[in-house]
Amino acid sequence: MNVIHTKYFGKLTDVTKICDETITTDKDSTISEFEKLLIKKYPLLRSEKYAIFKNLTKIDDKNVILKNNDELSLMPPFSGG
Amino acid sequence: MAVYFDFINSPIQNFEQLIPDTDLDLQTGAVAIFKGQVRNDLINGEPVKIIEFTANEPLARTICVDILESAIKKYKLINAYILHSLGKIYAGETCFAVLIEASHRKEAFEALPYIVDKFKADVPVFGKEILENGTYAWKENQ
Repeated sequence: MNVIHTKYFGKLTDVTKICDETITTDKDSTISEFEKLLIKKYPLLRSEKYAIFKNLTKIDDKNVILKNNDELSLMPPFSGG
Repeated sequence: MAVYFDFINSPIQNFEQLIPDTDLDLQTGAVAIFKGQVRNDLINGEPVKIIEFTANEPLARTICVDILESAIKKYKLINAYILHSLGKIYAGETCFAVLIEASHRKEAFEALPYIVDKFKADVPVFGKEILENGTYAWKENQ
């Protein structure tokens, strides 16, 4: 069982209605598999553009396996400055 | 060499006084400052009244320090500082400020847009544009 701390930023909070949550999975999953789980929970995420960061590192390879207590951040395009 | 970045939960006023004291470097010949203000752009005919800024703060801090350190190295700057507001900032108020100290104006003039552009592209800050009529839209950087 893995506990994944999931955070949502910017425009994505319109979809999720929350900024963060803890999601428990029964077994190890890749980021891709976890993302599918999120989209099942929040179908409107499918039409949003965002980058995924694991523990403050941007993820380009979604085959990376998530470990217990990893933090996943979903961030839309930045708009500071 | 000093780099400094912080978030501030208000509009930025008296920018230079908000930067922690650093030793006066007698090799500084040029100081360049950029201030970004909230504009009352029209969105679907409605003016922007407020931008509410949020951020992934731990990641933003790491990336900002990297940007400043790379600018110092690339342009041989002496010091470089950034402040950015979080929370609700009204049109006309300053939400973003960059200050660069260099020996000569050439380095200062070249480094300033580099830092501003890198911040806008790479730092995880998000702006919700709240319009006069109470509706909102999410800011998109050009």
